Amino acid sequence: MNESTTNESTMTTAGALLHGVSKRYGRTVAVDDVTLSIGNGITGLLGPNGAGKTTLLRMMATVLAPDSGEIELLGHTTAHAQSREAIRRRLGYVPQEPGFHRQFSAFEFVDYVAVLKLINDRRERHDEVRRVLDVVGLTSVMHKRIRQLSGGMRRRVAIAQALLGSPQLLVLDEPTAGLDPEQRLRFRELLSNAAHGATVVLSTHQTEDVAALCKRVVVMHGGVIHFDGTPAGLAGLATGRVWLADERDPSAQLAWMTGDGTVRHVGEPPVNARLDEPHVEDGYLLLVGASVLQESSWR
Amino acid sequence: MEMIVIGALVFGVAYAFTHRGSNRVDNDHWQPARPAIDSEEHFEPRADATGTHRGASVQLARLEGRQLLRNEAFIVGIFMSIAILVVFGLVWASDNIGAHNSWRYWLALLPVFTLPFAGMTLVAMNLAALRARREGVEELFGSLPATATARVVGHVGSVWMALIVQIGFVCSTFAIGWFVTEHFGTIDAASIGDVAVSFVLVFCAGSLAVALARWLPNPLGALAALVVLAIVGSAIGAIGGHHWSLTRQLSIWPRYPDHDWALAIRPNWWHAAYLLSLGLFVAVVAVARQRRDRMVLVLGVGTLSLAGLTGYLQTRPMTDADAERIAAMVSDPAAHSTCRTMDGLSLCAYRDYTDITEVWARELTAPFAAVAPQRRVDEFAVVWHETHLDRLDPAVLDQIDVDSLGASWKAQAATWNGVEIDGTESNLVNRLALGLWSVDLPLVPAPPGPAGEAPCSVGGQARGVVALWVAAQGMSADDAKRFVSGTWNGFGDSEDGPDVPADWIDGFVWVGDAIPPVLWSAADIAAAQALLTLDPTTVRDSLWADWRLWSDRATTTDDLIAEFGVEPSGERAALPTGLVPCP
Repeated sequence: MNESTTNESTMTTAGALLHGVSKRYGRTVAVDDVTLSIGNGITGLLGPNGAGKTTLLRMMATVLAPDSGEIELLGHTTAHAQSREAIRRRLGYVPQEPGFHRQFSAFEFVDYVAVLKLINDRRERHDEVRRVLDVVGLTSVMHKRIRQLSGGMRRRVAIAQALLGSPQLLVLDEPTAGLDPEQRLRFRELLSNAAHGATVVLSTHQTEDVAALCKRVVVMHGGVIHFDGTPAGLAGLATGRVWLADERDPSAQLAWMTGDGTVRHVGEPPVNARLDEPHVEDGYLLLVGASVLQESSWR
Repeated sequence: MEMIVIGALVFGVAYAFTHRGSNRVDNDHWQPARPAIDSEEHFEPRADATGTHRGASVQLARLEGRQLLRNEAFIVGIFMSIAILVVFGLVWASDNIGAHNSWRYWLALLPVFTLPFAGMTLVAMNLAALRARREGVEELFGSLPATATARVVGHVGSVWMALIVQIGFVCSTFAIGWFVTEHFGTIDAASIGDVAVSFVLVFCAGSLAVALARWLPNPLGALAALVVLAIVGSAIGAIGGHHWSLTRQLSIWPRYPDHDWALAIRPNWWHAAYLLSLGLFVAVVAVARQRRDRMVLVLGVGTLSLAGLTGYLQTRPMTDADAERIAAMVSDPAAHSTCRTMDGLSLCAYRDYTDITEVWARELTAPFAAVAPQRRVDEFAVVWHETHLDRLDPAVLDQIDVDSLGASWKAQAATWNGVEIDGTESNLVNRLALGLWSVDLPLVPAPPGPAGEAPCSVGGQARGVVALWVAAQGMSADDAKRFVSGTWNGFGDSEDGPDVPADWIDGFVWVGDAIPPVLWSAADIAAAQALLTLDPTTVRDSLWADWRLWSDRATTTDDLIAEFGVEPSGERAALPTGLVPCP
């Protein structure tokens, strides 16, 4: 009874509900029977390349239909055109590889997106465009053509367009790729502010971003969810399994030399090692790292 | 070769214009100097996504329209329009003060002049409609609430910018017609229909561009469509050759009959409606790529039906009443003309072209004043009439006896100079006819013999030289020399000259594609040029003193040379075989 009530409550307050969602590309299963409920706040999505993160996010951005299962976003199913439109009016999306109209200025491009976001009133739309460009710090170059902007600036243009109208669901697929460290910090600041009252799903390879921003983290691998919990919980998976030693253990699966000259091992303890505090990436590596390394023949 | 160079230059200018300011902006910091993003104000939206799809289409059309001005193809299209106006409106037309320079003809060229711009608009709008796909933005746009239909309508709507440019082109065309080339005649409903057709063509180009982008998402599709349209349109538009064919109306650019269009019914408004229906149908086809519901079906069937109906209506034969009215105009042009009479000079034109008589009068006053008063007693008349009778609409031809009408006009030719409207320089034709008339030379070729119509030779006769001198009066020295040498546009031994033996054309061919009534020898031309260098009053007084002598076929060019003491050069060729001296 209690569990039922909890589910009911989740159904009404969650920004995104996925039930038994699967997606195939030919014989490859990109997403396999994923069930997930995502509420307000920032949820990080971690996983190696090919884990199915982008496919999952594209389905959550309503640009890809699942082969099976149901997706409910902001209280609307994605199965019907009308409800998809209702979702899209409150959705912000940064694709993994956002394209741009390179001949347009940053202002013109974001304005173009705002038009397609059904912000009809010209004056209000322009105010909103200026606002989001200001938020991402592009005011001074907003009339430059996009082809003249650097990769980092273009990425910020992509973020700016996603913020139009302060959407209630933000789907961000590796938005910090190409940003330098300072820009990433700024992005964290921005996102933490933007996430108030909104559901944010952030796919990234940056475990530090997840640790710094997310109240929840989901780890995907091979199209299925391997972990769903807090960043601390993910780091906790490595509790008692992170070691510092003076030399690398030849049998260690995951070990690297740190800046102070010690060798950090994740997994079995090497000889003469001492325990260290686990980080999110340690838990993530323990979860998927070994298999990824094996698959990619990195060793 | 020159066209390629000019085209490359225009494209280069357009490219530079659309790609100006290409210095890359350095990857600056995230503006660390300004306060951190901690203000709630930054996260208060100034607008919500609560608008309508229709509103989005309107706004998208506005944005895309402005973007057209950055498109190289569109700018090249604008340059093409300007080039056409310069070439046809200023350079070419300014040298042609002929009968074909009526408003009716000038405005009928407008749709043809528009075709290059419409073609480039097609390319430009196709590129714009393919932009999102080309630049990888489709996925992002797919996550936005505006439907594909709204985007298609927006893209089609962006044609407003091309229509604005077309307004400028049309206004420039009118301005050149009024202020530069002195077009004449009335601007009738059919001519306004031509203007409408030019706008509709631009719209059709826009809707076809978007439809191609939706169904054939490759920029080569637009180029292929242009080639197909050019081939098919030309083929349909030229059905029947010089003769009138209603089937041509189904083409994008029907070629109108090669005769005076005051004597034709041109269903231009039906043609505009037909093209507009086709354009709307194509726009519906563009929408149907993504949306196939009852409304799209109804609109598709509706616009296609309308295209079929208007296509049918524009190919209907003229009514009996119209055929009778036009036949009467052809048979008795004087009865349907307005005449301007000036002391023995009578200038008559169809009522649609009354103002051309002012131009004729301006040109003929000086030559007519150079004719001896005793000759001016007999009236000289210029009467506008149609000479290409065989090209008339069959419905009109059925009511005309072409042979007897032609014979009747030949009989009146001594005083009655018909004005052709096939590109002939009417002013120069009138001048020459007046000169021939003044010395009793024939104004039309001899009746058909075994070899067809034949000019006569006035070589060696003084009156031929006098005729040229009279005809050139009132011209500047340079113009007179060019005129008399036969090298003026439409005259001389051009490649388009009449189909006569080559050795006949050693003198003067006075109508490009017609058999001339008279040929001179090179010696006569030289004598006329020499005479024109003398004081006109002196020459006139000498000629008037014994006009009968100088009009006599027995008076030779040598007599004239001796009288005026000039020393002309020029070969005195023997009379070519088959040519007879002028009676």
